[in-house]
Amino acid sequence: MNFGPLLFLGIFITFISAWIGLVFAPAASLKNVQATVVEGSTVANPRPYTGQELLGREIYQHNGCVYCHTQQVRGGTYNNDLERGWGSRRSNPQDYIYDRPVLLGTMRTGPDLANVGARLTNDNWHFTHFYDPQLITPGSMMAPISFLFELRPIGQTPAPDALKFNYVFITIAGDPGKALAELKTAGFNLVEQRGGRYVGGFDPAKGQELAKIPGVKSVEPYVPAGHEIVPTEDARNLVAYVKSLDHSYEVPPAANYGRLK
Amino acid sequence: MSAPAPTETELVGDRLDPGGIQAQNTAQMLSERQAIDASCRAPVLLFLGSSVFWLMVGTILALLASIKLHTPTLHSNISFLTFGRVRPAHLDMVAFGWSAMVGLGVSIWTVCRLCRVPLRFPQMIVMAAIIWNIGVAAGLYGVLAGQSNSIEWIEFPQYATFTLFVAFAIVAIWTIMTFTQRREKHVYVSLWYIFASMFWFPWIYATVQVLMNSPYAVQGVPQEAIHWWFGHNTLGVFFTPMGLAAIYYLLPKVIGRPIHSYALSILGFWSLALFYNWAGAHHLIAGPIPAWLITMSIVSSVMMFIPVTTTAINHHLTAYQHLDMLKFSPVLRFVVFGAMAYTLVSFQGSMMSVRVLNEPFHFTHHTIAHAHLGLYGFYTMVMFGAVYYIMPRLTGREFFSAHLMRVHFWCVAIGIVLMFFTLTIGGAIQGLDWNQAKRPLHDLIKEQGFISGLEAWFDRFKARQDQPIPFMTVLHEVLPYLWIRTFSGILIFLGHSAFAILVFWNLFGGGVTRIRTMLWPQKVSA
Amino acid sequence: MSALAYIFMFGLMGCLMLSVVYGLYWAVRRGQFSNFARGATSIFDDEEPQGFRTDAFPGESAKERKTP
Ligand code: HEC
Ligand code: HEM
Repeated sequence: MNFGPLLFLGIFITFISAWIGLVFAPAASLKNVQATVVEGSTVANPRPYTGQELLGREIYQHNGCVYCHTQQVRGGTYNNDLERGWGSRRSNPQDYIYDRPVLLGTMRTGPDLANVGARLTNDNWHFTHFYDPQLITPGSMMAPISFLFELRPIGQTPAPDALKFNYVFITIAGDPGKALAELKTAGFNLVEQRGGRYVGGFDPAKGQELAKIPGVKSVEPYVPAGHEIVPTEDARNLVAYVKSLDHSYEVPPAANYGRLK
Repeated sequence: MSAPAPTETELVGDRLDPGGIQAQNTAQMLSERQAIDASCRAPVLLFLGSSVFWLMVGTILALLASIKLHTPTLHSNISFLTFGRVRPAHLDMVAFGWSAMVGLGVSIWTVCRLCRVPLRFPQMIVMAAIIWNIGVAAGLYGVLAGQSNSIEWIEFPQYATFTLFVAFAIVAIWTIMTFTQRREKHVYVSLWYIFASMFWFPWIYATVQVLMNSPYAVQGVPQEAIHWWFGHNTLGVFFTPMGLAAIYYLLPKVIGRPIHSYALSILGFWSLALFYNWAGAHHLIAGPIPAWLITMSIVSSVMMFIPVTTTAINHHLTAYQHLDMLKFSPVLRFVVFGAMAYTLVSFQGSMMSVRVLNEPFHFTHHTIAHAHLGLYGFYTMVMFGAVYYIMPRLTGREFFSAHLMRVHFWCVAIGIVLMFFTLTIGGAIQGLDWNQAKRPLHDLIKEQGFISGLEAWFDRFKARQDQPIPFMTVLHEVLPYLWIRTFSGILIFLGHSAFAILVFWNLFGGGVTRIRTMLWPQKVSA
Repeated sequence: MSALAYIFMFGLMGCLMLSVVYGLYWAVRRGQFSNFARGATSIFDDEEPQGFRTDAFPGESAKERKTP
């Protein structure tokens, strides 16, 4: 094999070139990607994160949300990302200029979050969802992060951001079908069955009636009486970050190379 | 079945027996190889023993992660047991605790054998092993305590990363020092592979740390190009070369015949170096990075057919004529299984990088199946074989039970095959239902039976629908597959327990001291 | 991105490339690529020569399991 040395040298140079290609070239060519202003507007997009959002981003990293959620709306022809309403356009390099590290993600056990801030804006929704995702989406596989909340006796005045929801656990003796139907007319909104009990929302005005329905053995409040569930600062920061995830702004045509819906 | 202690005559008989080797003047060679193995004893056993410990930790974390994917409310109020922490902890334990440590231990021993020198400077290796263990323990603590940075593969906080880097540097320097003192002139192909991982890994590790995880981090999406260049190369130029090095040494050594085509093996090595490096961006197909980069990666992913085919031809033709030995040699079982998985996983990988397949399957369990076939079916299985080969030679004791070895093999072999097929199928259904199908496969099958349901499903594919199948429907469709994965995980856990018992029993003095199978090779007819 | 990072990375890359080119030069000069047939057998020695198996389940000598 006399041509061996030549061949091998060629291969090595290619190895180095891979570094240049995959590490250096993207870094250099995308170095000048900047926030842009669309015609007729004065706002530069994206905007930098606020301090609170950055702290929330750390919580997002520490608790591994990225292992179930991506933050990229794909282009391409063989996927349904846009059709699912996960964004109005494909994600652009510009969307990530303030991200350190960029958290594109590799797994979609949960929905894409690149534009979740545009879809879901209610603090209380997020707090409830983080505390107990299955209450909001029955059968959700999302891991609860209830450890970012505090269950505590209500003090002099209730905390302003304590979770506002009305859920009860109901134990039913005998045939559940009939009791559940009656419960429904009484305003009980079944979410799911948990360990022999039924959990669901109810109308506080008609709260008293539930226990009187035949077959209902006991009604226990989700939050023990005299207690409240209060998000910690970490949880508040996290929600601020999640709500900030909104890349639905327009990008100038020159910067947008994605498939449009 | 534990072996009876050998009697004096048995030993002597053996010693006099095989082909009259003893008659030749082998006294000097014998003491050379014995001396090499003896010199490796403490340092290499430290690496192997620690790796098995981390394997058990990683397996328990794996089970937890797997259970939490279908039963998310389990222990959900305990922060360090939440899926988002257990999952990276599992990956890091099996990657840096088990895979890296066992690979380094096996490589160190292989380097000594191939250079034909006893292990010099054992203090260096012992130090490296201790530092590495500290790094992994610190990393595990960091990830579980919630200090992970969520960059896949390098979740460890910086203090752990740095510790690992130091340990690795020590091993790399030691390798060079040993190499300069070698007594065998020829550099066997396994050595090329080992050198590759010793030099390339620090390079890619440093690159990714500086450019992603430091004050000098680059801005924006180029980070992800770098991230997956690293992520893919960790597999391609760190784990894969160590696994292949072990195959290229153990396969011919156990069988007693040289590798089928040595020239091909060298060609395979260099073409691997050429193509693997470019492949990283196939993790970002259709993502927000320049299309030329992705196309480049797809091309080189497909080009991987070349090194893989050469390696496959070599492995399988070497093993093919000696398949009868699978029955008698535990090492060969694991190594041949690993070699087959390598071929399979590589071809699958090349296919998966093509856009039409990648886009629907990306972000699903299909990818997880592929990852496990690679790092488990190939790499881990080969390393099991290597540990079975090396440990008795270092401790001077046979493993105490052939039964447990069989239990180990069958549990993990069935476990990984089951896991691979369930997740591959489950992931494919998940991806196609998300992206191409009009109605969920499971519904169609329920309504129309298996065959026509499947047909109807394929019939209705088109690129895009206005009304995709709801996300949660597909999520629930996958749940049965996740349950089966947990079941396969239990099988694998049982297998690992058998393995750990064998290893630690042997390490701490159990088992029969026989040197028969270890030192007295047996003539193969043909 | 900081210039320092580039200098560092390019320095590292340069070193690697040099070591690699040297490795190749070395390998060619020492005739590593010249006799593959001998290279392939370099893992055997007088004591574990070709044609001899070196592994069996514990307690089962490979010898007793000779293939016909
Ligand atoms: C085990 C996987 C998993 C993990 C870990 C996870 N999620 Fe989820 N997430 C889901 C699933 C599944 C859904 C969809 C069902 C639902 O609404 O709960 C979801 C939904 C969401 C939604 C609503 C999205 C929408 O469009 O309806 C948000 C916001 C969210 N997750 C944020 C987070 C954050 C923040 C974290 C990290 C603390 C996190 N998730 C961790 C699986 C996960
Ligand atoms: C008991 C057996 C095992 C089980 C049940 C198991 C389970 C899991 C689970 C649940 C995940 C996360 C998947 C997700 O995010 O959806 C995972 C990821 C991973 N595991 Fe395992 N695992 C096992 C053994 C191993 C071993 C031994 C290795 C390697 C030596 C390994 C390598 C990996 C890798 C590389 C990933 C990351 C995959 C990716 O992100 O693409 N696993 N495993």
